[in-house]
Amino acid sequence: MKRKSLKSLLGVASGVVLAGVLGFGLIGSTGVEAKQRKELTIQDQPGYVPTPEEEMLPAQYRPQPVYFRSNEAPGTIVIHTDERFLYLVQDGGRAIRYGIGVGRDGFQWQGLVKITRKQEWPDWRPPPEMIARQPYLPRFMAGGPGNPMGARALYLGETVYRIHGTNQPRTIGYAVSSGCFRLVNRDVIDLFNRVPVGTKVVILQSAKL
Amino acid sequence: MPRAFALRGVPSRRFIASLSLIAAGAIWLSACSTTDIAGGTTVPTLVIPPGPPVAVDVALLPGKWGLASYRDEKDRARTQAEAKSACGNPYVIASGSQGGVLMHLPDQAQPTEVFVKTTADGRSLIGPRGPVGMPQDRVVMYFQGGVLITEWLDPSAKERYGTMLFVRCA
Repeated sequence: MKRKSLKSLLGVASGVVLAGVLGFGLIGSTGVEAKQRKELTIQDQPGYVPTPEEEMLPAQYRPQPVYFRSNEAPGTIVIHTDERFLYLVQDGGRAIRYGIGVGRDGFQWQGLVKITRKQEWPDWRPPPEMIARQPYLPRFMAGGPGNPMGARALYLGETVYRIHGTNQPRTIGYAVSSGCFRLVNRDVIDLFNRVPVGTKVVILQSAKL
Repeated sequence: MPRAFALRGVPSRRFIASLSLIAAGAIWLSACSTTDIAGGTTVPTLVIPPGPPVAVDVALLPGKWGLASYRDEKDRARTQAEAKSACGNPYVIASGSQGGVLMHLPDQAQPTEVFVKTTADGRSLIGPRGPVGMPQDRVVMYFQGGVLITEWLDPSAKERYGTMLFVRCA
């Protein structure tokens, strides 16, 4: 009896240790994942031009080659909103991974779309709730440095959704209230130059229980 | 930290901070001047950038306006079209109680009564009561045919919001 109890106890302890090891592996960047689930309470800042230092992202959010298993063809964009990463599929089970910020619109749906249009220095239209708080805002701001839409935009299908730049680099890695999928300007320019109109984009949301 | 532990001949951090503040203030003031107004108060004023003389009749300002902004002159025409389209959510300029109109100062959620001010060479500015060239003034660049174009005199506000273009709504 005592031997059985001891065996059970050892079994449970082993399970706990194993779960802890796996859990640590899953959490991986630890504080990063916790941070990723948080929403950053920050409003758009029209006219703000970040410094070069601010545009330097933490290492895990900088564009980098990664192993990436996918059935998608090279050249496809896959967006994992919960991870805050955008993957540009490459040959040989690899991808270029970009850090992104995800706006409220970016969490609204998932599926397949194509890039229908590309624009340099896109224009910005503040959302109605922002105009209600700041009635002096222009209802339309032509594109340029300091524009919240950033340096480039890739428009998705016939929807309002887009992949765009930002003048707020510190929103990368977070959920934010406005916009869709944002990259820092240097990275969105890089992505813009790599993908043509017609590129397939797969948007994946995490399953909600 | 007790003075007994301070190093001789080395200025304290508080002293250095005070000197820095004085230097920063001097640099800021060198970009503007001050004007005495009634009551002996001085108000800092900014140099008005060169531009065309524009006459503004304050009676023509109240109403609904489509509001947009641009930074590059090449975007002006399409920005004007966008401003016209923005009449669905117009910027409303109301008449003030003291002969001016109600418009927002930079970053202020509530409007302030502002007045048309003119310079000796025919430039027009719109801003709060006070001397011409207050940091909260807008310089009128164009006012004709139901189109009003202004630029904030304050460099920071101008940088943030660009050139503001108003199109009168029908």
